[in-house]
Amino acid sequence: MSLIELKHYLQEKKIASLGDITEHFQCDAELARHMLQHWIRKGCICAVLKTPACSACRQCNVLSYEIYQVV
Amino acid sequence: MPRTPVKIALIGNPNSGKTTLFNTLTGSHQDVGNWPGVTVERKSGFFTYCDTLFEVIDLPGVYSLTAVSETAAIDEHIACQFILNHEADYIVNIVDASNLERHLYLTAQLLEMREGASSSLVVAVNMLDIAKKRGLHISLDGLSRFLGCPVVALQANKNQGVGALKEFLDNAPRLDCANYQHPHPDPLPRKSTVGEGNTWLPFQAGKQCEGEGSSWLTSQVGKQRVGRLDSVERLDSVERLDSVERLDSVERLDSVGRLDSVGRFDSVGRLDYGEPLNSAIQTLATQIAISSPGQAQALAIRLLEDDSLAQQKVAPEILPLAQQWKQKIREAQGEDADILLADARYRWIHEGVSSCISKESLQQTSHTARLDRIVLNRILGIPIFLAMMYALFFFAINVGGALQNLFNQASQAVFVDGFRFILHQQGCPDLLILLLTQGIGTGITTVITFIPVIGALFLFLAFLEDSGYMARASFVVDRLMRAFGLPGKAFVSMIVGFGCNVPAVMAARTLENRRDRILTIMMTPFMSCGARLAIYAVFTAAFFPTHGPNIVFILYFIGIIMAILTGFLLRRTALPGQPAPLIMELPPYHLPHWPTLLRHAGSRLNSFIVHAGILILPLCVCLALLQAVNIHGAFNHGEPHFQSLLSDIGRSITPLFAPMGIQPDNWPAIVSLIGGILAKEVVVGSLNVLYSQIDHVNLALNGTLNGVTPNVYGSMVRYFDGPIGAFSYLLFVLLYFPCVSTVVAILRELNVRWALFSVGWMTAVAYGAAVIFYQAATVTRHVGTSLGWIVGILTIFAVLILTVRGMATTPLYRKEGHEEVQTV
Repeated sequence: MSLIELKHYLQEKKIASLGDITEHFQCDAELARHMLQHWIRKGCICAVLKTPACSACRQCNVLSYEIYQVV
Repeated sequence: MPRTPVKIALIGNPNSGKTTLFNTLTGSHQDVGNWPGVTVERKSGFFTYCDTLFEVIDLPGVYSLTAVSETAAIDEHIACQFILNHEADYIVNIVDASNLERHLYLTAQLLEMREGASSSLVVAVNMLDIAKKRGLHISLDGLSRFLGCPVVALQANKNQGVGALKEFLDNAPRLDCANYQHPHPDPLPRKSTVGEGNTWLPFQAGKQCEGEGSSWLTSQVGKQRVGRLDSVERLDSVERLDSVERLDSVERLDSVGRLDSVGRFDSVGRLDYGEPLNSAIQTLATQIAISSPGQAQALAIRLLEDDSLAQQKVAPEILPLAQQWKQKIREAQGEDADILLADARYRWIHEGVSSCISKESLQQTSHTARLDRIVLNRILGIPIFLAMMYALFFFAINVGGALQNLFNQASQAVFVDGFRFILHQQGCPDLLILLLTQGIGTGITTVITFIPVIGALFLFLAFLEDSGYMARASFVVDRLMRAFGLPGKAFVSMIVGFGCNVPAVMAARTLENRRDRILTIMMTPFMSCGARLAIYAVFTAAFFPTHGPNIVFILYFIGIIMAILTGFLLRRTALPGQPAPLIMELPPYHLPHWPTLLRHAGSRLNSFIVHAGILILPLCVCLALLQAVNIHGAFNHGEPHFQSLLSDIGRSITPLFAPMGIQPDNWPAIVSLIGGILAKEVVVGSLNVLYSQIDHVNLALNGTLNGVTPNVYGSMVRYFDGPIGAFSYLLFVLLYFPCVSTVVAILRELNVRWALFSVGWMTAVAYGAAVIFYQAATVTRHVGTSLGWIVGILTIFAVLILTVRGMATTPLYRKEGHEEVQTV
């Protein structure tokens, strides 16, 4: 995964959870967060922390509701 | 003649184990925690190894060395400045083996700074045991070859590999990392070559010991420089078979030739960043070299990244040139130079790491992920957090409290009664006996009585921190905090405040924007520190013998709620804005390592006891003296007297506290509160001295205390208005005036105005809450008065909040709060 690839991925998807990102790039959440910070500082991407709307399965973890979107 | 120490700087990402290594190397007891941001300022310590004196500097954790703006967190600035100034002989870069790719970003930046650097870089790979548990196998040889610098394996929390590091630092003085060549020019080995001496080294936790495993732990560097060539032999005798078997069980890595294809830093610390970046760096470096030879390369790279520290270091005429190059790069590549530089580093790291790490295919989710499903669950998260907090107080009050009486009575017998007996036998004067027994003796007893409860609290806190739960607690509470517009990261500081408010105020440094920092600092003093727990313990023993943990839990909970409400009000008035979202590392759960846990709790307890003792002993002597002297300056012979100077002062201010249930003759409670401004630890000491003296006076006057044995608890029960009066007093103690050390910390971190605001607001909230509680609880006794007080207090608060809101719109406040809130 490179920074440019990460940006392209988010530009394409518009919005993605951390889980989506780590799944797509097969990388650790910590590395993905660290790389996302570069784009956040640039103002290209912002983090939107949301709790999921449903509460039925109770199986979701942090990766699914840490959400990033293109500004 | 004093020796000049060899300077070693420890640098790494937050929570990589720097402070643990620092403590292990120097024998210090700095606070460590299983969450990021524990170290917020540089600390130094010393150790001697083989007659060489080393100075170790523990820098705050940083993710990168690029200080992009003045508003970056202060701790990052401290570390960046230090590294940029080349102040150390060795830089030990600690990386987390289980998150190697992320941690090596900082390493890449350190490697970029090799040109002209007087410091040598050593990479210490920590937490290999966790990496192993995650199925990661790291070739230290491969990593060393890839990075072009020495690599050392560590497990700092178990003191493994530390001896090897010391030996390495001692035996390889001034290793020239810039020209470092790995002793094996061959590409990375394959599985089949293990037996031939190439060392794929899955970390064998617990197998090596100080001095024994040093050679293979220090990768190949030690062999070349130190002349130890026995790693193959060691492998033969220790781990060879295991290594081979392990390799069979992991994914085969096609590593042959991989390294050759991975870019390497050249001898001046430069990657191939591609054009036009290479040209830009070259041109800028040439210009910079005229005024700052030796670090031109690194400064050129950092100028292209808009690094504020680099901008201060170069001649002003270079800055427009850097600006032109950035513009040119942007036009040519469509991205900013800093992004392209970072991208080049990440790609280099990714390729290199892929060649050094093999990963077992894990069929099952790790236990951390499984536990997180429960602990971070949106329904169960908060109840689990509250249950953990309740367990904390239950453990402290019930387990610690069970021993409290024993400690109290034993200490009373030795330091007060025994001491008095001996002094009487020696025929000492009454005043001396009084000062030594009622002053110093009671002071020592007070401090000793703290030990079980505070020790139990610190032990449980250490357990929660070390296990990795505390970081989760912040995450769980983040949702609640965000509902009030508050930054979740503030809760990390608030948790630190459970131990002591001073480091909690300092922990707010880790917040990126100033508004959030102010908000956090205003909230943290509401958290009940260990010293306040000691006061709760005394009162629960006297008034709530069967519901102690519940009362303490309620008080802690009220503290958290008051902190959140304060933050909410400030957010809505003086400090408007959006909180930065909490994006924090969730460390893996650790099974607590008991010796570390005990050492950690013991070190905190020791520092608490020493700090409390220094304050309490002189204060107890002063109180005993003031109690023995009357208003005319004459000494009351024998026992203390009701007409003492202290009782007169106390009586004169006690009526102010009548609305919260303090009866006129209960002046010791108020005098103790005054002492508590100095430090909360002092409150219990004052209560102990004053109530025990009152008992002696009563005993002297009446000959009996209605059949009750004279003790502090008995006096308190007589002087307070039952459990309601006691709880109201505890509410005041919880919320009033932060101790002097906390006020000084606020002053240092912010300014006088915010320090005064904190003091005034907390005391007002404390008085208001205590009065409202007492009046509401006793409303049936005096309906009109109670309602009058409640309505009056609420009205005053409404006016106060509206005034603050009005002031917030004035230019003075806007200037303070004004800051660009980062859009994250």
